[in-house]
Amino acid sequence: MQLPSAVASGIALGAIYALVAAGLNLVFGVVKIINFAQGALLTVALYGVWLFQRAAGLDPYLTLPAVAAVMAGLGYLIQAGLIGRVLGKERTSQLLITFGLAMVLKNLCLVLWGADNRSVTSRYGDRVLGFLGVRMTVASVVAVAGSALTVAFLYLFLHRTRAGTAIRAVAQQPDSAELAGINVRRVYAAAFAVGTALIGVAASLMAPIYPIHPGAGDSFGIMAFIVVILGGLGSVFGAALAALLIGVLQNVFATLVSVQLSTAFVFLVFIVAMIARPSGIFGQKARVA
Amino acid sequence: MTAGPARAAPPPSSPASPAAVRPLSLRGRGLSEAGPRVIGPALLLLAAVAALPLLPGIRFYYLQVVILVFWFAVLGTSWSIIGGYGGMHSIGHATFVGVGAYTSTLLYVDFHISPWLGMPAGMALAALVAVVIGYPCFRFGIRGDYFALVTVALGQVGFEAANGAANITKGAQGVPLPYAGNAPFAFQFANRSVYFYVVMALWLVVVAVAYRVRRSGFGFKLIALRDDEVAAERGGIDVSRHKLLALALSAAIAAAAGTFYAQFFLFIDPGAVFGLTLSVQIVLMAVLGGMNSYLGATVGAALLVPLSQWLTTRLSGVPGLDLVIYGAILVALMLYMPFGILGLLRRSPHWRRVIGW
Amino acid sequence: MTEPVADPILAVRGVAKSFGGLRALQDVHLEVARGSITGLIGPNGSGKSTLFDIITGYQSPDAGEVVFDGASLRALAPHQVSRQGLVRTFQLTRIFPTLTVAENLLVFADGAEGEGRARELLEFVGLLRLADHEAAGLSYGQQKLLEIAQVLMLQPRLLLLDEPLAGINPGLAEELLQRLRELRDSGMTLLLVEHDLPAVTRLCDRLTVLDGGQIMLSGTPEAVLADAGVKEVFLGG
Repeated sequence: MQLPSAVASGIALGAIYALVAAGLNLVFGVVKIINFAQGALLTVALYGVWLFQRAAGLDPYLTLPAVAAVMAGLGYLIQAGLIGRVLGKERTSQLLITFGLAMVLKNLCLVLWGADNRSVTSRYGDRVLGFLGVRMTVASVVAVAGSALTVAFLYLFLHRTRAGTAIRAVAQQPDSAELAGINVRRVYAAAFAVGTALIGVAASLMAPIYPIHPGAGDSFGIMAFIVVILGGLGSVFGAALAALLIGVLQNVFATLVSVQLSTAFVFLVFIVAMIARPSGIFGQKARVA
Repeated sequence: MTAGPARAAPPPSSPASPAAVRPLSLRGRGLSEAGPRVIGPALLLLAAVAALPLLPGIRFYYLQVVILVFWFAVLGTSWSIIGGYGGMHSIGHATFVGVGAYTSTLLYVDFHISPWLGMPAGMALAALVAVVIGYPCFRFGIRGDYFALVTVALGQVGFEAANGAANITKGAQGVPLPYAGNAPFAFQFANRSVYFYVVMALWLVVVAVAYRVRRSGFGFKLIALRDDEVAAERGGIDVSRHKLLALALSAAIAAAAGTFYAQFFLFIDPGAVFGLTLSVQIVLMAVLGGMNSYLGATVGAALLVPLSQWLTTRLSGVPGLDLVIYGAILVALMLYMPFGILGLLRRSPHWRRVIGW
Repeated sequence: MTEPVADPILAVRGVAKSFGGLRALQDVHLEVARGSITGLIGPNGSGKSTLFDIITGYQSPDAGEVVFDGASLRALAPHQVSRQGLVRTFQLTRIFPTLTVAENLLVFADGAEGEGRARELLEFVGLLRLADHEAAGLSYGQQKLLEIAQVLMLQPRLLLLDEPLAGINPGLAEELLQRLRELRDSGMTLLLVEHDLPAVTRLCDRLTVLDGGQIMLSGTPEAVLADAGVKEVFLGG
């Protein structure tokens, strides 16, 4: 049937999930909050890619660094201005503030640009490549390659640079890190910024493939959670693997059964996985409180 | 036989103080402590509201706004039982509303069973769903943000299922209820004001339930486990069981509200009763008013529903703006007033006892 | 090295627990005599908290079992263990901060009898005058006392105290020790983990030393603290 193609585009889907999840992983691992605004930020980034193309006619792959940078700035502001202000307080505040932020961001897009689908094109994006009996568009291949590269860079950043090591230190032991002279608040903001930049990269890679509308980021946001939970917190490669798995599973289910039910199916998988394996596949035991 | 302490040495430095003489009681006097200066006007207000439908020439639009205030107050109060008392912040409460609405509606439309019977059926089913989801969650220690995530996912599952299982639920097009004129046994009234009194009665019952729960041993145990689950377990409290009971009760109430919605609007669809928007609105009502109080959601609804109605009419040309404002209110609340309006009273022991904080 | 205890209310038999590669407890045998005050001492990391967690049901052992008053505690959840009459306190004091002092106790026992007992216990720990205060506003020492009053509401037959003297001033510590003696005199059995060796010597009828997840020695405080091996374990720790 079309199973090999379903798997192939499932991998492309998973590659996008991997990037969004990587951002979520970073924020959750470091700042220790669940960022409900993840999907909405992805939507904003997608519109950003679209705006760049509308304004300057540029290919989304060229504007990728700019989008990532803008998103990083936005992330920094969100952390410093909003989330940082409720960090010491009740958990409810953290939960609801990112939720409220998600509502604002998503619906701002609706207000500003309406509900119609927008699209972004890349010059060679729609060309179809065939290999190993499978046909994939160039855009999909670039998405997979770009995602893999980014994940690799992220790993190197976290494990081979001073800034990355500071981030990991704060993730594991904020108190000791503070004593060691690390400015924890700034690390939080940096982690959020990097996480949001990753979303910017994801948006640039997925823009030529998916329609852009105010709800575009939603399912990716939820999927990111599933990926992070399944792949284990704190594990860059675990999350990436889980992302690919989920992407393939979802796409295959959609092809073999039904598109609508595929989303419900993955949510069900999430609930079950959450209950059965909160520590994920590769990660340490997730703190559930 | 008790292995209690023998007569102890007198405590270090404590003259006989009023606290030593007043009886220790879990309950206090509660609402009656508010005194006649507060209770009097409150009762007058209640009577005035109850008299609204009787005002000659009053436009039904205003009655409908008040109906929605009561409706959201019911939902928000049901959320307060789990979110406020129990610390379980569910952002998927609409799931139970949807279960209630669809159960009674489908039983009526497909099997001609009166919604008065369909309502308890929906309530029971919602309670069952609550237990089925809650049991594994609580058994495996899913709490806090993780629990919130699971409820969001549950809400999505409910929404997608309602959309997708079209052969049962009629799918995205929704289910219209056939207009039956004046058919009290079928939960339909030609005189729309009757719905006003039905929902007001529902609200009174739910607030009374929340009040009683708050002042019961069960309620205090919920608050204890909200404060510190480990300490509650240590104290012999079966935390999972208490959470499940609270969740089931809350779900049943939400389902009842779902049935009312169906009967009042005579049309339901997945977006209206299962949607994430509804779940967020429910949370917002409770949080704005003060989620720990049995009156919190009522205060929140009384403020937010008229505001959102006004916004909808003013901004009808701009879809999404109302949600931007909801979101902004939520963010602002969390930054500046996370305990909501009634939460402002929490410093006063007297008012805490009155509002049940 | 360790004489058997007459009439043990608690018997830990062959308990072992590992976390990943780390062996926290190994073949632990411990008996607590009814009506005694037994102290469990050992250097940091010796497994005392883990042992407490296992006894009270917060963790399950990889091997062995815990028998309380003749009944096995196997597979019992913490709240069930408490209801059996075996209650613990925590190293980091746990109370209900948003409830008042009185409510902290009353949540465990309803009705007139409960209210009477709560009043008695608040008097016992000297917190009666603060009955209507929010528990969050209490000082650290007062919260420790509140926690003790709380666990006493459950009428335990065996009380496990996890470092009850940690972080409180000597005056309060003395008072606390006195209260613990009174509890023992009224028929309760106490097992406590403590680092304050002089206090433990004065208070306890019996001491057990835990080191590196294994029981080293059990006996009277004098005998235990005079032991050369024990002295070595505690030098510098």
